[in-house]
Amino acid sequence: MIKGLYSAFTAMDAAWRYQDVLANNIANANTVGYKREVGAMQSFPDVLLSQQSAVPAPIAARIQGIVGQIGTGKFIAEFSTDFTAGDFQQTGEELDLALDAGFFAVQGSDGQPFYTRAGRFQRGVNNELMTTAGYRVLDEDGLPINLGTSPVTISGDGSITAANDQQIGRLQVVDFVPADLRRAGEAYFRATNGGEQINGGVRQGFLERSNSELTEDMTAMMAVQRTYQANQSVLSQLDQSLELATGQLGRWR
Amino acid sequence: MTTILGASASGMTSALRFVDSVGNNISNFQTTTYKRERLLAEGEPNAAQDPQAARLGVAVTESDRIMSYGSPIATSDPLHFAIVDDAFYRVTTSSGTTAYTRNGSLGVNNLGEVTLFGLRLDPPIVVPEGAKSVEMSSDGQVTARDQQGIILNAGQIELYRFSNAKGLRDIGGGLYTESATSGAIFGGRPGTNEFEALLTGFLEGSNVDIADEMSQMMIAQRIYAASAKSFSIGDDMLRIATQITR
Repeated sequence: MIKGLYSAFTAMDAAWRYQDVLANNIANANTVGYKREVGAMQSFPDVLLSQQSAVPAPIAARIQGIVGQIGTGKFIAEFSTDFTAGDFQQTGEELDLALDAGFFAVQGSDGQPFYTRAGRFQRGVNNELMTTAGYRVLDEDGLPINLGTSPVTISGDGSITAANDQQIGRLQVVDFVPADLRRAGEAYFRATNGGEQINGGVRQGFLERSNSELTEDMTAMMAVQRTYQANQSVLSQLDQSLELATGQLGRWR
Repeated sequence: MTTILGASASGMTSALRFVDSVGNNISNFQTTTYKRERLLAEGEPNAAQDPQAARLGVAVTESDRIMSYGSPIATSDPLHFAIVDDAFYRVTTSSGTTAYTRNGSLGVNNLGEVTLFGLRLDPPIVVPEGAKSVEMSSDGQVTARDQQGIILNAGQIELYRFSNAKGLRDIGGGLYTESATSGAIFGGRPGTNEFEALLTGFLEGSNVDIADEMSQMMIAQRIYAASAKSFSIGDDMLRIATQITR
């Protein structure tokens, strides 16, 4: 019965964490380059309940016989990122960039690159290409890009050209296996393994919108709310039963 | 345990800011030289993000000004001069700050100084003593006529251009000041190689696109509604949690 309490509680906990993620997806439905998270509730695999002897011996030797199977019932909510591209919105701005494939590389304050598809950049201090939060965008050699003072044209392969046809550099566009990317902020990722530099198809004057699915996330929220409620009922029932067991059954008359 | 509420509230706040900005743009649809404000929700990179940690909603919502030209609007006033490229006039504000504006509504104040939209030009141009009316040609040559109708030379208006006009600091009223990111500044006469001649009898309209603003408004409204709903779900879950024991 105590195990049941625990399993109902962990399910409620997982439901709550799932709701966090869904509420976050909804809140970021208009965040540039946001990649939604999708979740799944699952239980830990069943374990075999075994009887152990008290003799000091290695665990394997202590097992005297399998009593039965038990589900620990611990619900965990697993999240993964949905890397589907969002809609492209035409803005016509010089430093609004969208990618057909891959990620831009942005230098983090610790020197390690972040990867993002949110290409809303600006001329920062010293005319360097930066995100609006002031992080430098990197070129194919991993160096900051100095745009100079004249307007620039950015072609599909990421080459940046100044108004006087002077070549400024080429944007770094990297592609990854999704499993190698770890979330690091709403639209930013860190790589656990190196990616491959590709010709990502840069579109100047476009921004990628959030890939949030309001309807889907809203529906999921309502379903998860019911899961939470159902487990709360289980918890209440068990609590009442335990109260009977401890309060009524053991009472001296 | 109130993270759902936090994430939802941030979604609502961000959506409200979108509606504010849309409202501001629409109400300035008719304001001369108004540059529309663009609000974009953006995350910030966060190296320390724990995959198991709570999600906190919309991190940063940054706005910038879209500096594209508004179309010139004919006013038939010979003292109205629209700039047709990305240059600015330079003026001194009433508090003495140097500011840049695209509003070319010429006038003269009671000290005989030539003004744009009531603000003194920088460097100042003073009309000669006894001048009756002020005029300007499309190349920025300011002249004045005295009582006898004789044309007197007053000065030359200069235009200024920034390598990154988007980086200018907006101080309101169509005025901008230099900032760390506005870049190098170049000056020149209208009608010379780098600067287009002024358009006489026109003022620059706003660059607000009503259809675009309305679609922004609708998106913000939907996100507000969805976030409000997820807020109430979070609230309901908290209520359920408090009813575990009776």
